[in-house]
Parts: sequence; C-alpha cells; structure tokens
Amino acid sequence: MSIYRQEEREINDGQFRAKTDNVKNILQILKTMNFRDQANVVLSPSGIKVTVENVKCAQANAFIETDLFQEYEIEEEMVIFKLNLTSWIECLNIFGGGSAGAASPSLKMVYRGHGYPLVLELEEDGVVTDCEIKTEEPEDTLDFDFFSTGVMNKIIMRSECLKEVFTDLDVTSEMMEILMSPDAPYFRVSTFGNYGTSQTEISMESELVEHFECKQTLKQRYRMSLIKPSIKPLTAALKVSVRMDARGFLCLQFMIRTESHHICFIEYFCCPEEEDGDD
Amino acid sequence: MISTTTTTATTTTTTTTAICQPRTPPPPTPTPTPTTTTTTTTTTTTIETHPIISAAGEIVVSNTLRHTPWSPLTLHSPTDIIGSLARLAKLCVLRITRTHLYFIINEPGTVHRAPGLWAELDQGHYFSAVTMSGVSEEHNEIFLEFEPDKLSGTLSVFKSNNIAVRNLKIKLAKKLAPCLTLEMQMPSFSEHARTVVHDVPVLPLPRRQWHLYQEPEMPHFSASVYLPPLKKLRHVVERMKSLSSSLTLAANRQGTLVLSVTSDAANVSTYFRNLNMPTWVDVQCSSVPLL
Repeated sequence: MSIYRQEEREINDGQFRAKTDNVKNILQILKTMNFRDQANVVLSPSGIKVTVENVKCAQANAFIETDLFQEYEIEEEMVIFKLNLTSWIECLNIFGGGSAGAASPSLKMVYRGHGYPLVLELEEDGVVTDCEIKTEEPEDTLDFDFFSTGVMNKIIMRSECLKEVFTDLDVTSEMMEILMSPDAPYFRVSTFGNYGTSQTEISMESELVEHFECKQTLKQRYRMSLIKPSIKPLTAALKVSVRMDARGFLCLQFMIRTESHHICFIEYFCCPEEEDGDD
Repeated sequence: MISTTTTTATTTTTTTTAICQPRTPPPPTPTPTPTTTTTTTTTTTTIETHPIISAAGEIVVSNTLRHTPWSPLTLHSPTDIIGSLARLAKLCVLRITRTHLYFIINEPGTVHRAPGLWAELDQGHYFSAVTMSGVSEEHNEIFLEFEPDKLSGTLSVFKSNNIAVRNLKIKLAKKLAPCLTLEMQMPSFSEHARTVVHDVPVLPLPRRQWHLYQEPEMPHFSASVYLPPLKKLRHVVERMKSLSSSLTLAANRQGTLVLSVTSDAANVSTYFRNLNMPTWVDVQCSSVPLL
C-alpha cells in the first residue's frame, strides 16, 4: 500500500459521494446503534439507512437524511452492502469528533460500486485520515410487516419519562411487560424481578404525553435483553413514539436532534415473547 | 495543565541548543548492558564507603511558587514524567549535574518490553534554586537509582487541583538509608504551616558504574521529524489500537508523518503534513534537511 495513495485515488469517481462539514452528527447516530458489529447499509437518493439486527428478534434502523450533508450524489436508485459498524464508527471517531470549541472534522464518503470498499476521508486542521472499510454482500433483513393487521396502539411522548423508566428497570427481571390501553392505566411498564414486581404507569393525561391513540387493550412481554439496546437511542432522543400492533410487535421510534440541529429518526422493532397461556 | 507544560519543557530544551546535536531519547532497541543494576546484595557495603554521601554531597532543590500575572498559580513538577517512568520500568537512574536532571532507563522494563529511555530536563524550569555538589570537583555529578513508582506516589499530590502545594523541597539525605526527602508545605486552616515529608529510598551509584548511563549514540537514520501535537496523535493511535494490534509508521524528510493500520474490516491511514523537522549538525545520515 503506497503511503501517498491519497493523491493517487480518484476520489470523485463512483456510484455515491457525500460530504459533510461536521462528522459528529453521523457519529452520534451510529454510536447509539452499535449493539452489534455488523450492519446493513442502504444508500438511496433520500439518504442513508443503517440496519442492525439482534438475533433475528429485534432490529434497529437509523435514517440519515440528505439534509445532514452539504453534498450528496448517488447514481443508482439503491445501493446495499454490509459492513463492520464498529470499524466504521472507529474511523469516524478518529479525530475524536473535534474538541469543544474547535472546528469539528469534515467527512467525505465515496462508494465506487459492488465489491469496492466504502472510502472515507476525514480532515481536521490540515490532518487527513483515509479509511477503506471493506464491504460484503448484504444480509437479508427482517420485515416486521408492522401495518399488516391494521390495528395499532400509538403513544408519542417526550423522551424524559420513558428514559427514567427504562434506565431504572429491574435488572433481575428477564422480561418486561408493556400494556397500552384506551382505559386506565393507559400505559404501564412492568418487570418481574427477584424481589418483586415493579410497575410504572404513565397516564394519558400526563403533560409529557403528546399524542395518545389506543383502540384496544394490548399487553405483551418482551425479553429484557432485546429491549436493552434501545436505551442508547432513547437517551439521545427528544421524543419517542411507542407503537404496538395486534400481534404484539413493538416499534419504538426515536426523534433525535443532532448537534447541528438536524432531525434524525431511529426506529427499533422488537418481537414479543411467546406466551403459553394468559397470566 | 501540568502535562502540557512538562512536554514543552523537554522540547524547548532541545531547541535552545539547536547548534549542538539535539538530544532525543535513545532508539527503541538500546544496546543491553551486561551488568544489570540489581545490586541489592551489595547495597549495604556501598553505603558505608560511598563518596557522595560521606563527602557532604547534599543536594537541596527547592521549588517555590512561581507567579506571573498571566498564568494561574501552578507549581511545575515532573509529576507526569515520573508517572510515565513508573509505567515503563521498575528501576530508573536519576543523574544530577549542575544544570540538568536526567532520567535514564537502561534495561528493557518488565512491562511489555518497554524501550530504554534517556530524558534530559532543565533544572531551571522546575526549580527556583538548586545546590548540589557531586562526588568531586572533577566529577561534579550524582547518580541515584530509584523506583519511579514510589516517587510517583509522592508527586501525585500535584495532580490534584484541590490541594495547592506551596513549596517543594527535595534533598538527598542519609536517614536509615540514602533517600530523597521531599518536603512539601501544604496550606492549613490553622496558623501553623503543615509540612508533609516523604522519604523515597535511593541507591547512589559509584563512579565506576557511571559509564553505563551515558548519553546513547544517535544511530544512522533515514528520516527525522518532530511529532505533531501529542494530544491529537494519541487520540488517533488509540482509535487505531481498536482496529489492529500493529501500526505502520512512515516519515520522510519533508515533514510528513503517516500512521496506518490494516485489519480485516478496514484500512486506515492518517497523514500529518508540514511538521517541523529538527536540524542536524554532525550527522551520520547522508544529508541535512532544511527546516
């Protein structure tokens, strides 16, 4: 590998090119998703979608829209590949995302096409870092088919209250139960730990609840280990929407405001725990 | 911050003596010396007959608070250097001359095959007053072997921002055994000053061993460059550490330094350009670079 290949490379050739002045935005979003090493990446004219799956039972998707970038060009309708998310984050973080007050590093990304690595160029104060992240064939991702039954309970609330609930969950409990209902208690999170059952309720009349739409009472249990990865994006979010469909699938959507005041969304799907009978 | 001033201290020392051959730490693979410094068995005998102690070779280095209108009240202390020494090796040699302090580690340390080290510090940067008298007029130097870990513990008080040490005095004394006595005056609530005294044991080295601790020779080199700001360099290296266990370093004589790592998942290279280069006179390399 020639040391000076930075000059040799035709940095402007390829299927996809994007440039941003502030790498911190993307870095912040990707860091919340890093509960697995591998991620599927979809590049499209509307932006970048990053998908991380958890043992085929849970899935996180981050949507990084084009308005986060100063330049965004793509020649295909859709480009999909798989890469090592942890390495991508380490590369984006090579300059530490800039120190407080100092100019933050700029980022250029280029993808030449199938089989080529994702090429990054970061620059801060005259120091340049080149990265080549190897890409692989994308994996099939789950389609949670969320709207199929047509029935859905939805609550949109400010993230503070859910943050408190989720970060204080009883760690000795294997399961977490969520209840969403048009009648009291409206929204309840329960855990069943070694020392007892703990329940937290949020009323629809609470001022932190912005939108409440529950047609029927739905109650489901989820494995704590599958819910835990959602705490990171929740901590970074301003608002969260909690949706549950008739089959018991859970969808959490996090609205995150980046450092440069752009809005990004991360959604987290989770399969319910199979139950043998009613409790 | 003490750490940044300490690092600049060593670099300014070298640039003021630009005409002479700049002194830098020895190369990573120093020539191992056959006689090791594990002279514990002969410790007692050397003390009795040691010329330094018996000839009233007392060194008193006192460090009083410096205050300039534009800088905060800080005491310069080689705390960070000693901390790094402690991580590199169990034993270190302190050489004291009229004007300088030297820290010398000869043997590779027990920690991860650490490299040898030769550090030169200007006394005036750290201490406001130094008096020393060595073995003799002709050889006016003192060589002390000590455990940097022990000294680091004492100096760690300087790291804490809450405790403002007013005064630090370091003396070489013989109590039960030879030691460096550090006397620190700390603020106290009562009218009486509070003095904390730490004794760090040292082993004075006899003159016949001094040749083992001389300045290492500069090897033949192809490229030389001043490192970029260490904070940035350290951050890049730490990120690269998580990608691969080995790093490639490349440099040329135009002030470019390149760090690269390769792993299964990614290849990363960082380019530092327009770095300063030291000037060399009396060189063993083929040409003198221009700054």
